[in-house]
Amino acid sequence: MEILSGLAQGFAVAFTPANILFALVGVTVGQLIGVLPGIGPPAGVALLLPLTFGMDPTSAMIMFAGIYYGAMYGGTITSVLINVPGEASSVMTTLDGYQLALQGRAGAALGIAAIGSFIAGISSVILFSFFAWWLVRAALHFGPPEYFALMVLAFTLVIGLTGRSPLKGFISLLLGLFLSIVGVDILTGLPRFTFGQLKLLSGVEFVPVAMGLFGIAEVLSSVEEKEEAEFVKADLRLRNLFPTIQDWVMSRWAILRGTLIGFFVGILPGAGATTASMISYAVEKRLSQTPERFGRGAIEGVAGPESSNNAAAVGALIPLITLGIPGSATTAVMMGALLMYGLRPGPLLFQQNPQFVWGLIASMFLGNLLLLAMNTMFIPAFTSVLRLPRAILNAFVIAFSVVGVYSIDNSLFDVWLMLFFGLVGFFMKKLEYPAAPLLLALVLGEILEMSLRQSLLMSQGSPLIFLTRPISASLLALSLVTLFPLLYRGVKGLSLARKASMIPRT
Amino acid sequence: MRTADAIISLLLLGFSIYVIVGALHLSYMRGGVPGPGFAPLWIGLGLGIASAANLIRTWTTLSPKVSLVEPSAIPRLVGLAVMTVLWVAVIPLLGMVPSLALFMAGIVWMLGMRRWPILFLLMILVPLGFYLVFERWLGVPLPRGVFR
Repeated sequence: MEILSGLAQGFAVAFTPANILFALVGVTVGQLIGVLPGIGPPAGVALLLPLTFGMDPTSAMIMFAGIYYGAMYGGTITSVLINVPGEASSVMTTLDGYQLALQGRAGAALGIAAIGSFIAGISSVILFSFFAWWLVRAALHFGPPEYFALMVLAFTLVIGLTGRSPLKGFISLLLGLFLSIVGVDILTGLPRFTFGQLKLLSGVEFVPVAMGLFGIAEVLSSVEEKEEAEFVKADLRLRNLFPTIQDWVMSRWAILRGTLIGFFVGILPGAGATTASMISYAVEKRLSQTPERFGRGAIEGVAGPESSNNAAAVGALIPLITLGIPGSATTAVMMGALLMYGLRPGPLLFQQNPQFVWGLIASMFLGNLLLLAMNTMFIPAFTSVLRLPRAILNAFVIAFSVVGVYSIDNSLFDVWLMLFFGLVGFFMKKLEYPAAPLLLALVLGEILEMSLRQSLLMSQGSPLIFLTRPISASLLALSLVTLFPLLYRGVKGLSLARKASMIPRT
Repeated sequence: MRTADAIISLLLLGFSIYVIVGALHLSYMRGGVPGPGFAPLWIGLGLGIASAANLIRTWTTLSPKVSLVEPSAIPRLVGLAVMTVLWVAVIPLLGMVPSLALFMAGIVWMLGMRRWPILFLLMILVPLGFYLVFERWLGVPLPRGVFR
């Protein structure tokens, strides 16, 4: 009952003309970001951040969430038509979507992806309402030790699930934690690692770091990529976008399974939409009676992963909104934005700002509806964006990043900081250091240190407090369980390396 | 790529020593709770151990020889980086909007778009758009430089 009244309140917030407009802007920008290879949702949210200061935080978050799940819809178009995933999470769609396009069935692939994404989006928003409400009830009993343990668990999951090397994920996380401690220490008032810069006394701002790592670094990396996109010729009129009855029959369970896989994988920190779509593809192939069709144009191979990545984008918002723990780079940028607006995500947000939370949830119903309309009626318009020369796009992204970062604090220092992190991000990308753990640790580092200090104050300095409280002890035990496979992989990797080194090199 | 990975690991190792030394100058515990030196010490130690492990792994695994950056893209990459740095460096002198006009034309030309009508339009429309959005709409006082 409480959920229904909350949703009713949310619809009243989401359906104001201003918020409908922001949802529309968000999903359109998201769709564009999804279509354009190279720019991802974290860069999109970070780029628009400077424009939202002075705006109502609810409207800003409605727009940001729209960018996040809108990008999941957009990424499909390029996967199907040019065999290049516009978004990492659409990579699995290239396998069968492009094959379908070559067989003249691009419309069916895009249609089932749009409808599947819509069903997944709406179902996950409903699941979100129930889960969030339930999680908030539990999290209201959390004290500093539980929060500390929860963050440790989130960090271990992020290290394990992002990137190919957990060791590099760990290094990235530690660099983020280091950045979070730069500035005046809250407890003692002593400056730490400010490198003689007055501007660093208040700490490293997260916006220049996020825009550098995800905006500038992506532009630098894209310079190496192929410029020309080769389209598969496809008739994308509305009537060709509706899947046949046979397509439906083959895809219905894939959509349902994809939704559930996506939603629950999305909740896990570090897993995200790409992992969800990969799992969904693997599950569909395993369950299929004709697995040999996969990779040759199986419609379920498009329906499952596409539903799954959209559900994951909604699921990923749960830990952010209910616990204040972002699990991905995009949600970390959103958390940074919320903190800048003066809102602390977490269970108290539901109590103190119900109109914000329920408004955001209700807006996702609207956003998914808008995206379904866009993806059935305006696909040709979005594909035309791909004809925009990369040179102009790159110049525009750099210009927007520089002016945007400057505008936050009227500071050129922040612009230099962003360029520095752009270079750092470029090398991280090249050397396969995942950037998401760094950003996550930067956003959460201060809260982590504070909750550690508060916990030890509560226990008069005894670290046993983390083990005597059942929730924190269980969360820490879970972190250890998560850590074991990583350590095993690390040690095995080193011993294999030692064996390899014994082989004489020729 | 392996050499680059090893160089980065070495730099990180050096940086971790800097963090540890910095942390030792701050108090580790204060009044029974972690002091300002507690977190940096553990971060520095963790970073040191992890980058040393990565260094060992890099030198002991056989990996295919791949260059870090596609050689043919290096001139464009360096050009892009240098022009962006130059632009930001001249902002205090020329102001945000005029320097942006020069940057847009310069960078788009360098990245391969050589059609003058488009370059000319970009030089006018993009800075105008930025001026209207940031200075007029959002009220951000953009640097004026010598045009103050």
